[in-house]
Amino acid sequence: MILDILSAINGRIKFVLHSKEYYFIEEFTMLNDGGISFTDTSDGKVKTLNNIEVNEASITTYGCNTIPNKIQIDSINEGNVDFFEDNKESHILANEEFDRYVDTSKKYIDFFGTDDAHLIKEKVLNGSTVHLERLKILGADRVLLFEDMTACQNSYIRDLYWKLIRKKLDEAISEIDNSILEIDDEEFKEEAEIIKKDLSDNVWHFRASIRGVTCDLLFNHWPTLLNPSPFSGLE
Amino acid sequence: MGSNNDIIIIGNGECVLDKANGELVDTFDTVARLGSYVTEGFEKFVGSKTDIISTIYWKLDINRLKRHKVILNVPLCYQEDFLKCKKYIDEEFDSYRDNILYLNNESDAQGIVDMYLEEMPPFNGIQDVNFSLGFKTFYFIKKLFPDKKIYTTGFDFFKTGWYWDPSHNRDDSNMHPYTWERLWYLKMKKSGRINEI
Repeated sequence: MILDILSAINGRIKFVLHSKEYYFIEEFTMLNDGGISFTDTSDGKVKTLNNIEVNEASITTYGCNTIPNKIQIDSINEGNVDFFEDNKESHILANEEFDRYVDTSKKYIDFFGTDDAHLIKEKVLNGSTVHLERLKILGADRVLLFEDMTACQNSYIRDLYWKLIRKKLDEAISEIDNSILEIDDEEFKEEAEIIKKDLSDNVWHFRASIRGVTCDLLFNHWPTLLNPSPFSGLE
Repeated sequence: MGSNNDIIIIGNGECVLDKANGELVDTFDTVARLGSYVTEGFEKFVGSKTDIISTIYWKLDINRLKRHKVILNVPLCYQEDFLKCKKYIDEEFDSYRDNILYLNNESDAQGIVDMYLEEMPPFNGIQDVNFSLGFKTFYFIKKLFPDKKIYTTGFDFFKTGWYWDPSHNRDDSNMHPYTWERLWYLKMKKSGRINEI
């Protein structure tokens, strides 16, 4: 049945197929064994699914009246285009929504690379881009799932987190130093040096305080005097 | 100092207890206080006169509103809903509306950022950051009383707790950009636009 639906809407209504992973499909080619071949719109890779995989897959479209019923499928197969004409506006909106998911996925695939495209698509389609944004801000070179990390990966994330804090600290200290140079006044310098010391103390105290904090909770923590956290406002 | 053209803003930091400025504070034409300030028992340091209270709206004490003018702060993230219905003010404070000197609005968000940027370069996230009540109060006072000379005491940007409750600390204080506000304040002091007593 799913293959009948896919064949009926092929090339007209864009859809996501969920099998081993999520696939963004605009158009596919039917294979002799009942499988399909297509280029995933998000990562540009050619994929092939066999007959069993297609039959066990689920299909998602992004608008009303995008999945034809049995009668409509028969009618489409006979060359009738009423289903598409009658629901034209809805199909345009559905395809635009599909394109938005693709664009968002592409943005992250461009950043993290195609190796983790399956994880990126899953996060995007599940509305969990906050996780991807956090990794991006950290400067991670790939997508890691905090609930499924090795000790080495855990250490990698914590290292990136600390490096980011150090970078922000250095920037802040540099900014305060610029003010000292600009104002060129002993009293100002004295008070600005106290601000610098408070800032450094706060950061080092923070480092000790986050020992034992797991990666998924790490992003809720930030040295108070380095506010605003680059992770605030992502939720 | 203490002339008709002077206004003093009393911060809530414990550093206010370093100087017995109470009598001096009371000589000011206009005394502005913040949030849940306390004077009872601390008159020697913070004075007893209050003309204006600048506060976040949920900390506003109705009995204080009856007796004082208030600058009412609504967090800007809630602003749209808040102003659309005006329900909270209508229900809670309508009888004393004349005492609400100012209610912030969305245009103030940019005004507050601009006030910062007049002295300092931008930092990442500045457009969305939650500036502290004290910092915002400088903006409101400058806006409402552009000709008044501003004096302060008790501003340490949460380095210490509240002078009546030392347990209050900056980690409980809503992600304010403390370091940047503090550096801004230092520059304002240096240029004489804020005068610390």
